[in-house]
Amino acid sequence: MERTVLLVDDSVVARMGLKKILRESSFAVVEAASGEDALAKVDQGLEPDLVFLDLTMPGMGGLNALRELRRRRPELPVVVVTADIQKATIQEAMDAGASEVLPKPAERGSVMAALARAGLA
Amino acid sequence: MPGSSFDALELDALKELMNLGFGRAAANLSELMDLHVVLSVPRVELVPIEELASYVANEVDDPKSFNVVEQFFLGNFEGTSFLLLPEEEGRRLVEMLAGGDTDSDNPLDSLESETIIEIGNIIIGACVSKVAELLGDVVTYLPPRFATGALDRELLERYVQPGPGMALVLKTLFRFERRDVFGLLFLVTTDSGLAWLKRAVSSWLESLS
Repeated sequence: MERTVLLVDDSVVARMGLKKILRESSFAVVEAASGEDALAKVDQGLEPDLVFLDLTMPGMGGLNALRELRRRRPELPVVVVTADIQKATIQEAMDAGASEVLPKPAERGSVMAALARAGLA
Repeated sequence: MPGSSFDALELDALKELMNLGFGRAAANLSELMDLHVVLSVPRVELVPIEELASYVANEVDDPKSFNVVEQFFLGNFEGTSFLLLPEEEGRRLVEMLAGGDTDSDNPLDSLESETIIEIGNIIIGACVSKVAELLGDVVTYLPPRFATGALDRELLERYVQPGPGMALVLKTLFRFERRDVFGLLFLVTTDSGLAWLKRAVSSWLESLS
């Protein structure tokens, strides 16, 4: 069965990089340009196997989206991918329920390792 | 004009590069000051150089009194960066970094202005170097310069000479959590760097697709 990953980032370019890695590893990819967009897709029935989520986004932002995703789908692995690599930010993301935090730009090795830790690769 | 041919995807790429660069700057600064820097979504715009001073002045709510740290960077990615801090917020940064209180009735002394220059140097250096690195370039820097005063055309034109052409303006707002301090960072690369920047961004995009 094809596994689905939800990419949440306001940057088209950031999504492009991750999408390339995931498609080459035979994942189906669904994109969302904001936290609101991601939540709407989940509310409409999307059942991703994993989410890659940016933090610095307009609107509700990544942290609030993370908390909402966690509330709706407590078992869903959410990997935060962020340019903000301050210790306090990483801790905040983990406290909000991130499975792990990867620094941007996410490299193939770290993406595949995160998928493996989630039991998807 | 090379700058006018940046399409939406290329501008998005520049915004993401700025995001990555500022992420590095924030990490360096937070380690130095033991503070959490709250990042904002960067903005990228093309502005006619002759309108640049007015553009920057319009970006701030109260242009009365600002500290400005300006630094020129050289390389294929070449331009001027300046960090704008409202004067009172600059004082708070100095107090946070150096300890003690500054005398708000008097201008910053040399040690205090050096502290602001150092903060500017960290932010500008990390941000510019990260952007250059991601685009396969290495930049060098001229020593930073410091000024204080009303944020008017006269002050800004010390750094950006009016002339023909377009400037690429990358702007971000940063806030220090729980300290109510904000600043604005602008990177301005002019005509000489724009054609190179466009090629470098195109190559980066190709590597992602």
